[in-house]
Amino acid sequence: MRPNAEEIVRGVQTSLLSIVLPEVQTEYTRTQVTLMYVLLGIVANSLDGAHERLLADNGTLRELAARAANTVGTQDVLANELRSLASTEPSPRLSELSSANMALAEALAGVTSSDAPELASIREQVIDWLRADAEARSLGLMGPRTDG
Amino acid sequence: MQPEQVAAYLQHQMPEAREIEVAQLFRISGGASRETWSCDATWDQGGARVERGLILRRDPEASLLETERYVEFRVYQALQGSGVPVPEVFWLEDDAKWLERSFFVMARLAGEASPQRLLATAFDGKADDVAQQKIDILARIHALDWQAKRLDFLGVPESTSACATREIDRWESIMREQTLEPQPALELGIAWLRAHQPVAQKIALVHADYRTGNFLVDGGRITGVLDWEMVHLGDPLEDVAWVCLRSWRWAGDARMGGLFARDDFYRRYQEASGLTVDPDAVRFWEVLGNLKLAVIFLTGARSFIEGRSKDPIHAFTAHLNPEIEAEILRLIA
Repeated sequence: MRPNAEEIVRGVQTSLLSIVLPEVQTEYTRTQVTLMYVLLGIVANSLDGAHERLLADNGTLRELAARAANTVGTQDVLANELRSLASTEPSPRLSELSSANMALAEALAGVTSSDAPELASIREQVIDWLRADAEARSLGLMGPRTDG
Repeated sequence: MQPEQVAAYLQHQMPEAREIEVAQLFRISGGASRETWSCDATWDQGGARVERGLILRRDPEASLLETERYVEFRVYQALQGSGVPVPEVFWLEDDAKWLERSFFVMARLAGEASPQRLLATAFDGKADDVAQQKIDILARIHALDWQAKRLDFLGVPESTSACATREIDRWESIMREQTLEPQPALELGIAWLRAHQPVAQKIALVHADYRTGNFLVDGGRITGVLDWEMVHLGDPLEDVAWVCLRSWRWAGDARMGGLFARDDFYRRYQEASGLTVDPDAVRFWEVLGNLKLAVIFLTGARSFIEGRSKDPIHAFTAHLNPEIEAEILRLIA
């Protein structure tokens, strides 16, 4: 048995906090060490489940891309791009999933930036997804709202 | 940076000074674009020993924001004696032989800037006094005769209706230059901003980063307004909206900067400035403010990814962007 990547990162986090931080003299360096601790937390959280999250995200985006392609029409360049992205097979590699995610987001940005009436419905769906995705990835550090 | 290097520079600037000593040299956290260092300098001059706390603002290797050091320096100069408390500035140095990079030197003012520490002491137990000063100083910044102060080098908007366009253009262009991936939420924000541009009531000096954390408080008194890195001429409501961003609700409650409720702030600012706070215009500038924050963080992330920066803050702040995107999408819904 050996510690996995996430367990190692969390162990290093604990060492930073309990061994390194008490030895640090200046406030500036203490801030830097604290930031490193927080960053390692972000890394640890993303190690477990990053692949599944991207797979799920890309699945939703492909579905939106397919719907958008049908709405845009067969001759349109955007439709062809969306259709091609919608039919791409998911890769087992994280880097390729991430590239696919970017390509899908970019193509769907073409939908959100369009004011064509026939795209209104799919546009709203893409914006809803963007909102849900942004909220899911939020660290929750902002203060409360004051305007409802 | 070493004390001997700073002492050598002070000797260069003050050839008549003798026995220059620099101690307690340390870096202070914060500052979006420039490193901030503090030191105690002492020297003999005219038969007396002079003691001075100094702040050095040095260009970074990479930063969250590319700004010109002379802009901040000249604004500090222009604001001396204006009623807006700022530190005295001494020298602007472009020769990298002294401290490896360009820098400027200014006086160190008494006071605490950290929002967490200010909140912990309830602003020295004088939160309401500090709140009123914060508003009065902001009104003074916006009332400043920037033409008389020769601040038109900052770039004068063509008209009151051009203020919004200038800022959208500025931040959109930085976004396009810096981003390494598609930004659909920010694109939606930009499109919304272009369709909802307010007309400014006047063209004023805009601090552009006016918030708890960027002023010093000593004994319940604001002793200095700092971090003028993004200063420009524009719509005064840009600063009002920036104060209201959720990112600065440090106390974890609805108070802006831990000091006042939104309605109270609007009312007191209107009284102090004689300007009207139009909630729609503030909403526009809040969207712009969030876009600006997101773009600043993208800039930092790029410098980290490309290895120009090893500062963990540049990696961390990029992870704040999803929440900012969600906020933009909520504000424009």
